[in-house]
Amino acid sequence: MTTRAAAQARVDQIQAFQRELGLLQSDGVLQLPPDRLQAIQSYHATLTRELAESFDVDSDTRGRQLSWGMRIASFLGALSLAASVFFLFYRFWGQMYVTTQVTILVATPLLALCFTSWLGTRDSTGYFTKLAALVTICCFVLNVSMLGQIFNITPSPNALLAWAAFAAILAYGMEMKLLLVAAILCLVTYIAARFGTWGGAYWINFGERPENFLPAAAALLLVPRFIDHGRFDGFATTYRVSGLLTLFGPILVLANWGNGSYLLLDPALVEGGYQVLGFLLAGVTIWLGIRSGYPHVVNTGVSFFVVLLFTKFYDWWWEIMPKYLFFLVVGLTAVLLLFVFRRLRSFGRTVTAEVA
Amino acid sequence: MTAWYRRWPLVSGIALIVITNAVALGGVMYNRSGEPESTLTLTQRELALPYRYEETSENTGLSLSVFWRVEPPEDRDDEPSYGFRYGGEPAWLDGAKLEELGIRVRARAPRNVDGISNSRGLPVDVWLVLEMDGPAYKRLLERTCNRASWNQEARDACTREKNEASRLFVVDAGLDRHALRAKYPETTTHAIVRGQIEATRVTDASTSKVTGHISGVSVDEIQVPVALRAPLGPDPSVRWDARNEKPFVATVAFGRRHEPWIVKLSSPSKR
Repeated sequence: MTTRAAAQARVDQIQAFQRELGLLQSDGVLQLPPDRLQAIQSYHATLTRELAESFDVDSDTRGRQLSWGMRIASFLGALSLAASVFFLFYRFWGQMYVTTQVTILVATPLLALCFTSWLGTRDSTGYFTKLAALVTICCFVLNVSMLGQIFNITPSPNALLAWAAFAAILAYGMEMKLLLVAAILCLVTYIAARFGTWGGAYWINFGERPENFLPAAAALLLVPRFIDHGRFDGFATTYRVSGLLTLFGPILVLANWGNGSYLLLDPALVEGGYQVLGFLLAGVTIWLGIRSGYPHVVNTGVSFFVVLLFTKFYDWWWEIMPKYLFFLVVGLTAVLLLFVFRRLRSFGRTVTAEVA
Repeated sequence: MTAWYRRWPLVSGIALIVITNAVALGGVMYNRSGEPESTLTLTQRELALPYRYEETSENTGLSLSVFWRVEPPEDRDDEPSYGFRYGGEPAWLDGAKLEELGIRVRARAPRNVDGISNSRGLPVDVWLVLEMDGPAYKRLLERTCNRASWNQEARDACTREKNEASRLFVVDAGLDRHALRAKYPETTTHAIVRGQIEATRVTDASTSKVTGHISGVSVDEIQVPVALRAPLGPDPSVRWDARNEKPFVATVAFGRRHEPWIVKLSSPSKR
């Protein structure tokens, strides 16, 4: 067992087994000889203790709740420390000579990276390493952006590629999903900016043509398809969900703002086209999610479908309907959707049973 | 193998930081190597100190905002001009010039029943020519002061144009910086910089008109190193309505990559 996630999964499995065994015994379905039962309990207790010592896994509900608290504290602490580093430099950089500024800017991410790497070998929980890694990324972002300001360098999207690569190195090296999200955000922005410039525009204006994000969405969705992420817990899920959000976000915008499209058609036609495409893609996503057994894909598809549907309801009926009628229609639609999703859930169970 | 597996994030991260900084600083060294591509002498009229309300105690860095202007068409003489930086529609940026720059805005199909469509293109990266205290400024000064007899407001505009307004004008644009340099060979009055132009096409039932608009220059703020700050005093900020409060003269060089930096900063009396 090499990762904390795998260790936690094993502990969860042991606890589930013990609960089910208790029920089977109380219902009289299974009666194990006391010595066998004792051997199993002893083995599980030793294994749980070892895993808790090695990976700091949560062996009970209270521990799990505290873990969530630690995660939130670690994230907020990382954000605060990153902001502190940023404002510390801003507070004093105007009093430094250029050589000193550059030395500090280059040395800070190097030192922070060395510290994070050292901490990673000693911090079994990963919370402190995550915190240090986020501060390291902030130092590198500060490094590149401040060099640009100090030397009046022409802004370029290439900095985003460097930040994405750095965040990805830390994400894969430390096996941290949060850093992977940071890497994906930078990469998506870089790809969209590049496609924006190939479309003939200045790179900073990439957001004004939401279609620039679609190639990045395709790339993200293809990554887990062709690269095995079995060793990295939750990475494939992160790629799929990020890819779907990068796909559905621009479609949602274009379904309401046809003027933002590259297509030189009547904006109303563009909006209508993207509305149809949005509903179709949401349907296909839900179907693919059920077929492949990816609940996160299904949930993302359903969420997008509901958001797109309700934004269109607002567009179509908010002005012309009395408010009580509008909310009645929305409520009835929600009830209808519940029926549809219940059918889909039973379809999902059937598919799972067939696969099993 | 195990040692490498444990160390690869550290080694790759260090390599990435070193390479990124080497590329950025190498670019700066290249930009500032050899003779500058152009060197302009600018004053507080063209390089604005931060306004007092903008100043925060959190940021101790000091940057000067580049106040560039354009010469508007004569039919807009009655519009007020305060000599501040703003996006502008210069007279020379007509349909033919936009065509030459490869900036085309195709008419989007009309949305309204009246048949009017307004298609805005996105800003396009081009080379811009900045002219300091040249014919464009002199023409605009003459036009402004010719109206001084109209009323007090026109007289104020003339005074402001003479004493306060920026004399840095965007006078041309192109895709080939060498061709622009050949056309404007004077390197002490003309600098070539990266900037953006956008175009809008307004189409109705019978006509279709394209207008060009300079939306910005890529580097619109220039940092003042601490070693050059002495002439600006301990508090370099100014009131928004008193840009001449702290006069200075700055020698700004534009390097091989057309990126600017301040070579010298002095009080006007010490030039």
